[in-house]
Amino acid sequence: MAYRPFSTDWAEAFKDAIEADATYRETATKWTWPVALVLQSTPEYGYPDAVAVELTLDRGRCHAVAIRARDTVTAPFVLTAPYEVWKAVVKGELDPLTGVTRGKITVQGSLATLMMHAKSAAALCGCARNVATAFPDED
Amino acid sequence: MPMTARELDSAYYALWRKAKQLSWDPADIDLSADKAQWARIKADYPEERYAEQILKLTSLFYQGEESVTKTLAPLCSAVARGGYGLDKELFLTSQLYEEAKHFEFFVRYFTEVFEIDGSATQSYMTPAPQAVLVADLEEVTERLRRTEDPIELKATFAEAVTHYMGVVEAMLARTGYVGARDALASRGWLPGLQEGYRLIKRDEGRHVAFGMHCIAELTAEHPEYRAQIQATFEKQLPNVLATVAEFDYPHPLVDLDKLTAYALAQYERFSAAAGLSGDAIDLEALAVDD
Repeated sequence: MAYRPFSTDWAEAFKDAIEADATYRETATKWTWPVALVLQSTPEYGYPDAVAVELTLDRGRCHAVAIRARDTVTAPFVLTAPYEVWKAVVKGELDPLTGVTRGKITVQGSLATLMMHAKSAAALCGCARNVATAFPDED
Repeated sequence: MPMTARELDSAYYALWRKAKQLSWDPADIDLSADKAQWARIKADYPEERYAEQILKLTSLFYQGEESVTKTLAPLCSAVARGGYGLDKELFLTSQLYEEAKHFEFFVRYFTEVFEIDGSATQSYMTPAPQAVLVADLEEVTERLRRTEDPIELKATFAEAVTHYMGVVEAMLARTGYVGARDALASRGWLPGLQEGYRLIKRDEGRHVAFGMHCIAELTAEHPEYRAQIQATFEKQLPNVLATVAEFDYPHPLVDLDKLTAYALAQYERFSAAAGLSGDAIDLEALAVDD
């Protein structure tokens, strides 16, 4: 079954994909901070307000996931992008770091720390490729 | 004061010896083929805007080399005033000489090949490269020059080494020279500029190695310096990434993904040397003459 991105079911499937991913587990052994991925408001695809997937990450594991409104996010690292950018990341068409360096994804939090763990950030987004996703613009 | 046996056996002294062995003269580089090719590149690729990209890239190198030539003296002075070692002093004299040669190469290139005044390079200095290459580097080195308190001097020296060798030389200069030379070599363009890039990048390798050895030594002695080193990277990373993004053209001359990956790899190495990442780095294995 495919899930609508940034829905509760999709977020749970994302968590399961992270937990099942050996590459992420090996790459992210030093990553110990929660991360929020924020989808900007996209009313045309059913996202009237910005929505966040907040992941509780710790040393290669994802202990919890939650869908939150943007203003309730507490993660120290917040990556924000419009719909088409996240779609490209989820499909594996855009490397998340390329998105950051080209200004397509904005970062709140320590850029120096994020860049020091660039490989684990890429591996995290790589897990999203393993989630069956039903993109609303492809309905 | 005589040099100690430890100084004579140090990595800094080895870098100084290597600098002497690998000396070169910007005036010896043959630019005759470049002049003819430059006219063709300008005429043949209006849609790709390759000439504009080459000019912008070379302008940033021109500005960067001028800036590092002007701002290195306070580091030399700090090493002498702080008594950090004759081996470091010797190496930094070679670096000062080399930075001046790099700037001379670009002055010559603008005059003989581009046939424009170097002042034209200023038009490419948007806020990000202006901050990281010039303004912020001037600020930290000027602060270093004025510092008299020995404790503050050492901490400011660590900050200046991080900005100068870690950010400007490792993340921007060496990265830029690799990307630019690859881009020109793959097209068979501007052999004189390629040769200049190759030789400058080789020199920069020694400068970065000096910085990494210094920062490893300083943070081993003063772990408290790591917070300032991290803060320097935190402040300058957006400027570095914005500078790389300046070359995000519809028909990019340089491979931006490769460039970004190289810059981040340099950052990882420097961070490891500073003990920021928890990763080990083999300082003895640093390539200094590639």
